[in-house]
Amino acid sequence: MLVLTRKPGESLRIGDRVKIRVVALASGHVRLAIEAPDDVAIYREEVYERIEAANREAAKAPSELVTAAFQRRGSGRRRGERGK
Amino acid sequence: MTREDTLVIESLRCGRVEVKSSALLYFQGIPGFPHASRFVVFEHAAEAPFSWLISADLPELAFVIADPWEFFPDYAPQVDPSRIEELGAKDGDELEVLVIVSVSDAGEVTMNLAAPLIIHPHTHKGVQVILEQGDYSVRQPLPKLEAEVGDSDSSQGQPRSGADPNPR
Repeated sequence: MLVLTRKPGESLRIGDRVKIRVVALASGHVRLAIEAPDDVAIYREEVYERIEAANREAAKAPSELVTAAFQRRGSGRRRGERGK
Repeated sequence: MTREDTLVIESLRCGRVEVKSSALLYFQGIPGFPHASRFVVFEHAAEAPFSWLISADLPELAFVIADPWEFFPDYAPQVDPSRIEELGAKDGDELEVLVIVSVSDAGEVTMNLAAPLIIHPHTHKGVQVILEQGDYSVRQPLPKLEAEVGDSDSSQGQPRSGADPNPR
């Protein structure tokens, strides 16, 4: 892992397409400005981790309980209708 | 069709599944599973509101997925336009939206409304987006079955008290 020091107003480049600038420091917070192409998704780490955890949990659901849930919900539903 | 067009997946969840290569979906970014990019949708049963999303790369990986509007007619995910363009679509209406279903050890069924899967039906590209707005839950319990019995046209387009997603 690379650790380096920057002052407010200074920037970092990650590859050719991502630039991160330290905008301000105030009472224990660092404010960052990120310039990145549209196809690079930027998330707060804790938000991303929450989705990772949910995905891992969903992937390991016990098969017999999934089958039971399928059966419980298995009748009388319509497909393909969407109330947007 | 030649043999090359068929892909065999030995899924731990669904057994041996043969699919046409043309049915593959190409996902970028399923958080937690960076090495899984190719998936196929596998119908469990014609009448079931749930399907499987099976990984063609990791045989042990499969998600239960559903059409969120089957359960939450008022669901209105706001997807960043750049994510839509990235899939090759001009407009969000061109995309299919599915959500991952989770079944807890206690058997409770929840849906991840906070991070839907969006898929372009023609380019077959997909991505799991994390919604920044809307305050949707990662583990939204399904509405009660009793409520579904009364599911009729009267519920369309109106906010229903039972359909409000809980805050996280």
